[in-house]
Amino acid sequence: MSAVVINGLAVTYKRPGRGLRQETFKAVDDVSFTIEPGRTLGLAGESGSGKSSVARALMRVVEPSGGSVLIGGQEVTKLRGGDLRKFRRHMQMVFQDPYDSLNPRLTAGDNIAEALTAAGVSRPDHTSRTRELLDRVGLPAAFARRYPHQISGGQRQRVSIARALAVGPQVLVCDEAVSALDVSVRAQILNLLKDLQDADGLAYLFISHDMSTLRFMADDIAIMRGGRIVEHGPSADVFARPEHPYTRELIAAIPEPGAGRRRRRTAEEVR
Amino acid sequence: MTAPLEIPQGDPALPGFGLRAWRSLRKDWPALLSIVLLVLLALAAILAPLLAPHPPLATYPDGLQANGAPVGPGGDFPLGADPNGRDVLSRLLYGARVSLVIGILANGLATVMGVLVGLVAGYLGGWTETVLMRITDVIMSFPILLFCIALIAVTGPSAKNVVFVIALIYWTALARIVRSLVLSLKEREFVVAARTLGLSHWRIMRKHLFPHLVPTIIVYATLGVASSILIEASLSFLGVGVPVPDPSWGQMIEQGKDYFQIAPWLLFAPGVCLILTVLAFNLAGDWLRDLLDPTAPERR
Repeated sequence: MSAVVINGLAVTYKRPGRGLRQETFKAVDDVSFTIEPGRTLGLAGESGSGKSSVARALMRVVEPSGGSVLIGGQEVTKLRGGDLRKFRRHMQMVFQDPYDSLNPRLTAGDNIAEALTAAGVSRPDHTSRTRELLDRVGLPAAFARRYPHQISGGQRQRVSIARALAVGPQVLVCDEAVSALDVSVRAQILNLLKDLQDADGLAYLFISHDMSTLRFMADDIAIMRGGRIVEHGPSADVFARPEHPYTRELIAAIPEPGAGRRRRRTAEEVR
Repeated sequence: MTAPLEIPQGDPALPGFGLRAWRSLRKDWPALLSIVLLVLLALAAILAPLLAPHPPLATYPDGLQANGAPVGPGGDFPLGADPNGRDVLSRLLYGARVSLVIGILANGLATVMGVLVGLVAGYLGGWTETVLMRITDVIMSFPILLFCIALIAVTGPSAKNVVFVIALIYWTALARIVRSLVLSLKEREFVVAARTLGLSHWRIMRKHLFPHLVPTIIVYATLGVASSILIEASLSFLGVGVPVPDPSWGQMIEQGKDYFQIAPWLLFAPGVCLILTVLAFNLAGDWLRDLLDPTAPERR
């Protein structure tokens, strides 16, 4: 069974202001895709293309205005109240801003323990489970007692990942999860995510505006623009034979190591 | 999976609360002074029967001069006498009980109500928010003193009713402030994360929203103690506060103002106490706010 099946998803936001004629804005329009367990769908596109809205609708953080979302065969858009709360452990999210996604008033360990509480792990087991989870994301147990402002961005993102794993999800949504990190740390986190996927068979929805990150991470690629998917296919095909002009633009924008130096030299030769 | 990591240097965990409180107090002398003052004040109020040289309600013929004016400070009356021949120091000590208890209780009640209403309205939104905030608007649109007088006219003047009436008026401001804080707070990623984990509404409010409101609540609560004491004074002046012979600071000021040219101590004694108390509450509140914030840099 597919981990995620999204069909005809639509998200509509209300424009600010109240009145008889409520203006609306369609952020996501008729988006469909599937993700198999252990696979990664990379979602790319410019700012405002609706990538994050897809993620938030899948997570039921915003209400989709149409379409269906199946997680492990369960229709998520129809779930309400307590049922939705219990189901949330099957889908988890790693957020963009490692400086904002952990509660600054709780230690790293307590942030993870909140997830354990949500998963119904009994209190006496919290310490040992937290240690296990920190170990899985490559952090020493001593980090449990540190506050988020006392650790670095990459370490915070590891804690975020540990928190998401704590409830045992099938689907992990990474919304620009490495965009705020510098390049060397980014590579470490990407490798960690790949290792965890191999171990647990997690399905990833990996959102990024950075095509080189997606080339590394994704099995399939979907390109969004103006709330719609304009190109969708296996990663190798999309990079080798981009069909949509917008996809070609995105791929052309990937910086190539040494390209700038070469170009400058040719410019000098011309002179 | 073994990524290179710097090993944590030393133990970054914060020392215990008591120890931290003591360390920061030693560096912050205005806060230390305020807390000493508040402790002394509380002791004075509790031990009033032991400390007071006279019963607060007794009238003394030798408290008045031959022309009927009250005698000044000194001798039998350390802070002078009032126009009824009662000892000002004794009334001040007993008045501290009334003023402090009314100020703290009324304001405590108002704070609890305001935080609950603001938190629930801001977090849940929708109809709950509309109903709660319109009730808040309605209460805020009443003229405060007139509303108090009307309520007390119905319920009858007593210290207990004064507490309830002040609380009923004062929760509204905090409810609005808390709601607006929650509105921006609930969009923060860690609150969204708490929701996606499937935590209950109550737990999200308690563990992920409330701690971030504490600094603001402390500041408003300490300011509120001061205004509650002052409202009580106004009500006493209008004859709907603490029933008359029992002393409260506000009542003493209001009674003393007619005599301030011949007996300024009637204003100064309770006035200075009121100012010092209000100041001490505010400074202690600032200190407590900094202490409770783990991200605040430790002042060296």
